[in-house]
Amino acid sequence: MSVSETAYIDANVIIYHIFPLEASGAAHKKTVRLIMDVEEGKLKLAISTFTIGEIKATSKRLLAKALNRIPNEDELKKIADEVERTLSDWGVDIYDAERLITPARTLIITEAERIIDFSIPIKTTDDKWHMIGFADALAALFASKIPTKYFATFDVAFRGLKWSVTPMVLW
Amino acid sequence: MLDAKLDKPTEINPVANTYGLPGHSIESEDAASESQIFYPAESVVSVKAVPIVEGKKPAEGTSSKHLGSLGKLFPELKKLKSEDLSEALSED
Repeated sequence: MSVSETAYIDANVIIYHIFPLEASGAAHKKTVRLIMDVEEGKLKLAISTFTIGEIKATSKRLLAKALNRIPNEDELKKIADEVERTLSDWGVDIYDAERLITPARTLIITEAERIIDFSIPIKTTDDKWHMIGFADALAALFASKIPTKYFATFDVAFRGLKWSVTPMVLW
Repeated sequence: MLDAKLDKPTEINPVANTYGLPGHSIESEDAASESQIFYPAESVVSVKAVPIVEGKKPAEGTSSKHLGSLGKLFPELKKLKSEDLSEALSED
């Protein structure tokens, strides 16, 4: 694997890493291994502002659940700052999602629909079916616009992704 | 509304102002928004994406530096279970 290989990181990679180990379970070990590959220069990471928005939304939801109230601005800023520090320390390239689609005048909804059309549902051994959602398709679309070779995620549904980025499923 | 304005003589940029099917063009000032414009495949130019923040190679030990870091900021988060994270992530 050369350093020129880049992986787009899904929101769940950050969430599972920075949330307490009591909640992330064994997933945190896989995030550590991923970042060790980055430390060793085997892989470069990338993300877009779209996925950072997903991280913020999920964090806000989880903090509200943990506190059993609406989080205030200071609390949300603490989380946003920690996400920013983590991305910075991991050496993640951050792309503006708006700028990724503007130069080629990408019809994002149409393209995301195509990703959904091409992709297939996956059945796991626990007899459950998994399929990427529309937000997942948008994230895959942004990854392909950078472009990155891999899409690193804990979402097993990405095994059924049929697009120009290769799923790197940490599940 | 747009059809009526097609009667006027116009200076047409065949790429930037092409709507829907080839040959259906209007003045650029008539464009209600960029989102309405259909760009035919031949007009799409590949542009290299440039990051707004360019990351540097991480230092050794970074892989565990932020591990569980939000638990230190908010001890209440330690009450969450793995199902809570899965559920919150699947709501997107």
